[in-house]
Amino acid sequence: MADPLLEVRDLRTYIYTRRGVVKAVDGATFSVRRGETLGIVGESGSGKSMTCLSILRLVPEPGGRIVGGQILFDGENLLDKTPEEMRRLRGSRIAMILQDPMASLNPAMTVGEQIAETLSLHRGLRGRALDERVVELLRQVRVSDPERRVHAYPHQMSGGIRQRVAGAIAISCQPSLLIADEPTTSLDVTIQSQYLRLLKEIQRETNLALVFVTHDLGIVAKLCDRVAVMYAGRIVELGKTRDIFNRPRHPYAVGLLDCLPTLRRGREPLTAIEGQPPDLANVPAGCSFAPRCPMAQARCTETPPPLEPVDAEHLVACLRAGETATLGRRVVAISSGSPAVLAGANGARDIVLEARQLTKHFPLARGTILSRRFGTVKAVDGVDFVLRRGETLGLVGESGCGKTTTARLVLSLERPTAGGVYFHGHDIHVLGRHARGSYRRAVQAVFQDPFSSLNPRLTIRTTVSEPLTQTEPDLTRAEVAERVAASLTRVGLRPRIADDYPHELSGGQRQRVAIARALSTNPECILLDEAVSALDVSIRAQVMNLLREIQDRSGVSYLFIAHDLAVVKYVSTRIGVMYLGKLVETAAADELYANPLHPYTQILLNNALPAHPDDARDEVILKGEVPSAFNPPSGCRFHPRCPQALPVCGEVEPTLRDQARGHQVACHLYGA
Amino acid sequence: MQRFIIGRVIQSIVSMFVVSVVVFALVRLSGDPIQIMMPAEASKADIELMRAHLGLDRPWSVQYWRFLTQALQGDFGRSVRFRRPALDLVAERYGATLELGGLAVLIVIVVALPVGVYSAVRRGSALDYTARAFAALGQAVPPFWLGLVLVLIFGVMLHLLPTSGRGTPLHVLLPGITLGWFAVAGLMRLTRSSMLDVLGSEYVKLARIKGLPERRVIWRHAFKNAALPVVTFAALLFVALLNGSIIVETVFGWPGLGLLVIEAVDSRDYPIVQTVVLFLSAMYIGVNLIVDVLYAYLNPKIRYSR
Repeated sequence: MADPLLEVRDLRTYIYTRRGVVKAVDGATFSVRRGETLGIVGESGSGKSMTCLSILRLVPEPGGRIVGGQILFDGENLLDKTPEEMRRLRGSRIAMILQDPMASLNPAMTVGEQIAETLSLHRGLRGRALDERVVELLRQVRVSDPERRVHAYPHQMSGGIRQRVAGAIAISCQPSLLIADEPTTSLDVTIQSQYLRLLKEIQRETNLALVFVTHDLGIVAKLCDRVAVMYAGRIVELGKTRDIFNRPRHPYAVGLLDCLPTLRRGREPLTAIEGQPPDLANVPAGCSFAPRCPMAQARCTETPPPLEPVDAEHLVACLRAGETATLGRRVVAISSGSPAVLAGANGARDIVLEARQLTKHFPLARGTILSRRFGTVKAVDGVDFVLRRGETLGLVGESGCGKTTTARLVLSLERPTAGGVYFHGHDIHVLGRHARGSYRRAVQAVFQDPFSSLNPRLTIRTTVSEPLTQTEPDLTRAEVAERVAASLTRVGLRPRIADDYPHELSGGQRQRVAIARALSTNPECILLDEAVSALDVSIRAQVMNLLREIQDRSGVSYLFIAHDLAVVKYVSTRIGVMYLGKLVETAAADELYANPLHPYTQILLNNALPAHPDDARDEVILKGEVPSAFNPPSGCRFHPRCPQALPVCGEVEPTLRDQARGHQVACHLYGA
Repeated sequence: MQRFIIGRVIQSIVSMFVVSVVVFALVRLSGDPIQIMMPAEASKADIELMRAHLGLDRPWSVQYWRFLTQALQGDFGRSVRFRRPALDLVAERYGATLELGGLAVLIVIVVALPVGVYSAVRRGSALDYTARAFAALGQAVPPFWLGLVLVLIFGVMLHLLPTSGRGTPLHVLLPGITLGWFAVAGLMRLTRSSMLDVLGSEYVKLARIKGLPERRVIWRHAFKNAALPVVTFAALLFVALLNGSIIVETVFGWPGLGLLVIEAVDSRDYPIVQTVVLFLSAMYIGVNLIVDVLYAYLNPKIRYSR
């Protein structure tokens, strides 16, 4: 076994705040070799990012401090280095890529300048040589037209391209260690695939050691040689990726793997990890997972368990690690049968919501005083769908496909340019005042970010009762209070929290409040716009189970908008795939995943992250990015990127046609 | 960038034209100048004669046209009180106000920006606390009171600095500091909070990850972005400085535009008021133009969106 390039031993980073000491990293031990990829996986607040910043000695000040441990890089302890020595190391031998490409590039400098900085600083390059190297780097990260792009500003580029630029900055001085902190989390599925492949190629060319931080086990399965599972500031399990996926030994790792919705898995309920991660300012003595652990014993709450080997290269921090080898997958029963079966049995249920040739074009105008229209963004362009009672219709697609505009049209926040949304057969955009009120009561919404979708100045009671008092003004105070309590109970919250403010709740609890708000009027349909995307894996499983349970009990319909195919599969009865304002394929959920017809659907499924290292497949990497809806390609909008495009695809726009019962596709490959 | 600048220059000319209309109208709405100019015992015929002589019997459009063409030729009428061309009087005083304003601006730039930047960088340090205390004081204390206190300390008690009038370079110090203090306070606080925002941003984190020296991180990466709101606020401050100069000039007997306009308003010397307002407006529009161009330089998004 080659010497490790980076060895972190018992690293502890604390943040001293007025509230107390936040033990952000509290005993992290791991190592990485040259050419190897180590995944650090954990939920938000588990200390992943702080571990990375500690390696670079960039712990946020004031307050943050590395209080213990060692960080050996190439045999030297980084904690003994002077600030100036550390600075020379950063960007040249250790590089890092941050999560959000929209925020991590300086908006006031051209990308060329930003790449050139490290080169002139650490490598002393000047003039022509510098310019040439910058262009070469952009080419290396596969940015097209690099000679022109060096002069561009970040805002002129898409997220995917910006993240490539961040990659170019990172590799500019040929570092031996690259730390990537959730670099693909904000990218679309197909762009993520492109980016992960790029990282792999760069690693192969330069023999980089890669530390890949992520909350997504799929990325770990696809990319990493070894994994460190972090929980509440500690590494709880460390080992080879395959070992951890096949034989997870820490109950938390077992739980994480269980609550992951995957493409392979059907619609059986997810096993959620109950409870929430601990407050890092107030970590329980003993094992920090003990309060949520199904196997916890009294001794687990006494001292933190040490990270000890259970197998070759497999370390676990659990007192009962000896017994967990046979733990297997727990199965937790959840009420009722599968709605998929229900819907399949009765195809002619009532139609609740219907979109007919739904179209929204936004005019683009230029000029301040005399504005001239110079174009149209075809955000949604002739979309048809039907949502039946008790069903979930999933709309999937990448950014710019028109999902959000569709949601706004359904909520009557926008007026369609043509076509319409029909609720029980009535066009919702021509309703009278009274009918509009009852529509608002019948169709509610839950949005992506529970931190910004709840008004921070209103108590939970006000938030939850607001739709109720708006739509049913005759209710007495007692009745309102009763309904609020009932709504909160339905989403698994204690009615007692009604008088709390949003900031007193965790992300998962807030999203439950948002669901309770939607449920308070007993709606017929709830629009879920990326409603679980911002939640951590274990919390997401809880919320998704909750959504299914509510549907089974009340027969509410969901319009579920998301980008994550596995999540959509888990909740949906029917699925529509959108691309650039068009619906390209619709089918029953199982049918779509078993037999995708449209090349775009096939690629989306192919690019989805694997659930297990053995599932990792040769993916088809899609060329380029989603074109602008401002000037969509002629014919089939997908044809410039389609690997199977025919000559006709560039000329004639395909229409959605039935292929099998209930399976429609808009593609010339499938003739009439 | 060039197109952007040309566009903004045209806009400024349009604004200036609008200002001239407003000034013209306001002065005529505020009362009949003949009533003030002529002695109370003047005969009706004399008044009519004077009116005709000044062209005030012509239609407003004709009067405005004359006003505009004369103004463009540098003729802003004659001061009623001093019996001299208004432009000459304004020009004499203009230098004094510029000197005072220039010193204030210099103080602001030299003090407010670096102190604001470093109190953000060393948040919680002694520098930060001292600077914030001074800023709070500067915003709480009215300039005329501060001026009087400074006069008391440096003039009356210590006999260090002259307290009134204009002559030696020392004369400008007290009014300059009085005028600058208020602006320093506001700008420093804004610089500090804007820097704090930017220092917490991901791109500043990335700049540190790149191993850049701290000085470069602060000035090249952070300050350039933090300067955006600062520049906007500076334009507003400029107006506050002009207003403040009226008070400060009165307190220190500084022979600038502020003092002139106070005297002119007292004696209803409308050509002077008109000229001063036009000059100040022109300065304000000019500063705004500079700020916009600076803004476009600092923020590429604006540069390209037009």
